[in-house]
Formats: sequence, structure tokens, C-alpha cells
Amino acid sequence: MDALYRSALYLVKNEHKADDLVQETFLKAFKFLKNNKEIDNTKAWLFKILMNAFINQYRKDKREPSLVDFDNIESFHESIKEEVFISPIIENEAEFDELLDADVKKALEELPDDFRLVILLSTVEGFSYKEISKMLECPIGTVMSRIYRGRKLLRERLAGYAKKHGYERE
Amino acid sequence: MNCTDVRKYFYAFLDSELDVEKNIEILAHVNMCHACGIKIERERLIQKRVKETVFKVKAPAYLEQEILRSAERKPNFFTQFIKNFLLRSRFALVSGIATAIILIACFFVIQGKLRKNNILYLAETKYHDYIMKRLDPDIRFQDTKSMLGHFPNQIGLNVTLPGVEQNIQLQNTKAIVEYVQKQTGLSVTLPDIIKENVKLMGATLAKINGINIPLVFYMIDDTPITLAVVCNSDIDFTKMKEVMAGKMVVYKGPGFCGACQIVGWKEAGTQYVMVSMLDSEKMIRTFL
Ligand SMILES: [Zn+2]
Ligand SMILES: [Zn+2]
Repeated sequence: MDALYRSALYLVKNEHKADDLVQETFLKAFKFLKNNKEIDNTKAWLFKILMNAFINQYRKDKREPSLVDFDNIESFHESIKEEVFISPIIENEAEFDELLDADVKKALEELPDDFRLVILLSTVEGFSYKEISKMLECPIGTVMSRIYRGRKLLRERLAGYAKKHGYERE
Repeated sequence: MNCTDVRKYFYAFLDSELDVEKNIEILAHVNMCHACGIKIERERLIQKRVKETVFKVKAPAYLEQEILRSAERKPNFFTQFIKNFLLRSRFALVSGIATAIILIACFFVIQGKLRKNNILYLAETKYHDYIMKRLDPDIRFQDTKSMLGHFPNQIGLNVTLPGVEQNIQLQNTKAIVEYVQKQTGLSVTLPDIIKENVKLMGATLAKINGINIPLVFYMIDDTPITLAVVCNSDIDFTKMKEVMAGKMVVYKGPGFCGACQIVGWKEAGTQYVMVSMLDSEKMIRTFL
């Protein structure tokens, strides 16, 4: 329950909406269970329902997904090699452990929805790439590319905040 | 492997998504290459911070109640169970007891031991297949009284539980035996298992259809297992499958929900019924 709720809250960024989203998830789960028996991985399954509920709602609200289309990337490794893995060169590398929760929260919330979503699933909830790809019904390459890009963005933001704190201290 | 390769597999390595071979190659490189080591450590730290931050969010207490309230009530599973199985079979008392054990065990394990809120528990652990998978609101009792009220209605068994709060705390075999003896005059023997993956969780006394039945709760690794010790009784095991465990005759069968399994045996006039999600072979191996 906490797991679903924390993801919901970070997805919708609003406590009231998070309540609704979790509630919707459970009601869908109850309904499904009434007619079906087999669920292999309950946690993944509940998250799948949650993510679908979120995606549906969010697509409804915004009409168009904010996503840059990299679902079509064929040679995944080639394309992300340069872009994602060349980490930003941070001079005077700041200390990340000085980051405040508020910084992390802000950085996460500022990520595009699709990136935030996969980071919640991978980094926070520890689902495997395969589980996430099944959950979101998209190719594993897409999942990886979103995770990597999301983390890269996150790291850049956080590095910025960390640096700022460094200056403030001096 | 060089630094560029490490970059290529950077996140897959951090997420433990690489095969053993690649993993070792990366570890070998990182051992020698300070720059890559630092990068990995730093990224790990960021991931950790993100996880910690999000984990601080807890679901509000009212939400579970709200969900339960708005969940429509379903036709009860047990009604069907009685129709299909319980009433027709000589196996009745065993499965009836097994059902009672499951309900009691759920009650105690949830309420007394793991202290998880029920939905969280249902969603995140694998205690009992049926209860887990069906997320049945009917089985989530909030107190002893409503739980006991459930038995006659749903499974046709009359159950009482004296002194539940204290006796669940007993956590060694000797104390449990003494407690049972004192409360009922029964002399109970418990299997003496000294295995690292088996933990004695506690015990309680239940009266099921007039029979005093001590219930002893164990955990094998992460799976709860409940042992009912039925003294001075003659439960009919003959509908179950007979197997030999050493020199002993053991009976095994499916549990009431199809997900759990029951193992029963007789020893010196006492009958034992074990119920768990575990495979019956594993139960037999561990306890006999
Ligand atoms: Zn290197
Ligand atoms: Zn069962």
C-alpha cells in the first residue's frame, strides 16, 4: 500500500489525486480478482494497474503525451552510447550527500512523466527491466532508454542543486 | 573491458541486469580503474538518495478504510467451499480445521506478528495464495470477536480462542507445551526442529467443534506454516494421499483453497495437521 501510494504521489504530485489513483487501482484489482485466479507477481500486477490508471488519466488530461518519440529506436545501444553515457563534466564535483530531500523531490517531479514513471519503477521499487517492459507493454529497449535518459536528467539537476549548496556554504 | 565498455553497461550493471560474465568483467575493470569506480559509486549514491526520499512517503491511514468501504462485497468464497467440498466429504473435519487454521493464522500473523497493514500485506507478501490473490475483504478481520463470529457462518465450525493476546507471544517449545498443559490438561509433544531456516513464531489455543486444538505457528524462511495438534481425536485422513516419511505414514492433500497444502499424521494417539503454502514434501522434510 505504501509502495503504491508513494509512486502515485510522485506521479500526480498531489495528495488528493494520489488517494484517488490508489483507490482506483485497488478497485480495479478487486474487480479483476472476482473473475480471475492466476496472478504471478502481485506487486508487479498492482503496479501495472496503477501505471495504466495514471497513463490513461494523464493522456486524457493532456490529450497528447509529452514524449519525444524514441520508442522506435532500433539500435538502442548505438543511439544512447554517446548521448546518455557521456556524463556531464562537473567541475568541482559537488557532494551529492548534501542534497536535501526537497531537492530530490523537486528534481524528480520536474522530470517528464514517462521518465519519472520508469525511475519510480526501477530505482525506487526495484523492478527489473523485463518486469517494467511487461508492465508498460513496451519493448525492453524503450524501457532502458527511458531509465537511462531519466537518470541522466536527474543527475544533472541534482548536480546543479548540490553545487548550489556548495556555493551557499562558502 | 575498457572505460567505454563500462559506460555502455553502466546502468545495466548498477541495476544487476547483466549476466555473470559481464558483471565480473566490469568488476575487474572497476577494481583497476579509479575513475569508473567513482562514477559508479556516485551514481549508486544518487539512486540511493532518490529511493530514500520517495520511501519517506507513507499512505495515509484513512485510505485503506476508504478503499475497503468502496469495494463492493463479493459472493463469499467459503459458501461455495462448503457446498462443493466440506459437506460431502469425510475429509470434512481435516479441511474444516485447515480452513480454521488459515483464518486464525492470518489473523495472528497479520495482527500479532508482522504488523503490516492488511492491504500492504496482501499486496507485498506471499502468505496465502487465496487470501493474497483474491484480496478478499471478508477475511480481513479487525478484531478477535468478529473473526470468531465468522466461523459458524462461513465454515460451519464452532471456534473459540481463549487468551489470544498473551499466548501468541510464547516463543519456545517448552513454554508452549507448558502453557497448553496448564490450560487444557493435554500433554502435547511438538516436533523438535533445530534448523536454521525454521523459526517458531508463537502459539495459541483454539477450540474447534468442541476439540481443544493448540495451534503452533512457524516460519520456514519467509513462509508461514501452521501446525495443529489434535489430541484425543480421531480425524479421518483416509481421503488424503498416503505416503511414507521414514517409518511413518503421512497423509497429504490440497488445502481448502487449492493453493495451500495439508499434511497430517498420527503419533502416539495425537494427530497433527500442518497447513501451509509450502509444498507438502518440504513440510514433511522439515518437520518429520
Ligand atoms: Zn575505467
Ligand atoms: Zn489455502
